[in-house]
Amino acid sequence: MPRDYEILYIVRPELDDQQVQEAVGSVNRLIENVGGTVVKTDVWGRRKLAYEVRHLREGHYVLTDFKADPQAIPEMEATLKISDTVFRHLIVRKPDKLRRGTRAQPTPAEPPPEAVAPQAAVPSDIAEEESKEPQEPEVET
Amino acid sequence: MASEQWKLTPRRRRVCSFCAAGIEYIDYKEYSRLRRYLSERATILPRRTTGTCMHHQRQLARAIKRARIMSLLPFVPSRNAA
Repeated sequence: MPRDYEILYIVRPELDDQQVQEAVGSVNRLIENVGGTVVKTDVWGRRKLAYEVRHLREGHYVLTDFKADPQAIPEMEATLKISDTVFRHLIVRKPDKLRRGTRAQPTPAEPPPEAVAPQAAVPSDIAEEESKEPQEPEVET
Repeated sequence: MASEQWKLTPRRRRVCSFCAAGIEYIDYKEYSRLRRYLSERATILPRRTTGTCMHHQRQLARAIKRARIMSLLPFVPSRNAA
């Protein structure tokens, strides 16, 4: 059963827009090659890194949503590790919005609707009560 | 001295800012939001300082660690920043 994943990866900064597009294309092709489907690709653009990675201070960030079988992920990891253009990546499973509602059910195929609906509601009474307070924690910077 | 202040001054019990904002899942990509939960030395602030609930503190820690891997947040402060 395919699952929702997202991959954020950083492409080498010295590449121009066209070369970045090529890199994006190769990653998307990789996803298709392992049997996944690309849902959405979002190029964040050039960004400063928080710390030096491989003596680089910047990189092109690209975020891609995709669907794939869990077995396909190690294959992707192996290919990305040896990539020349992508020097860092992170594949994360997308949060399952109904997870709390469906956890009790061993078969998540058909969750009863009444079990899902109340769980989706955020405790709004708490949010209302404390909305006057500053929402930021007191943090010395 | 100043860092000990919170122990001495009685502080009102704060509510978890993520609960207050109605956030169910803390996304590591919102690194600018997460930065507030890092100290000057870029360590993750404890719950007692921020008032975050246990549920969200766990998520927060994971999100910060993911953001660090992707170089969105620092492991250690940069030399010119601190």
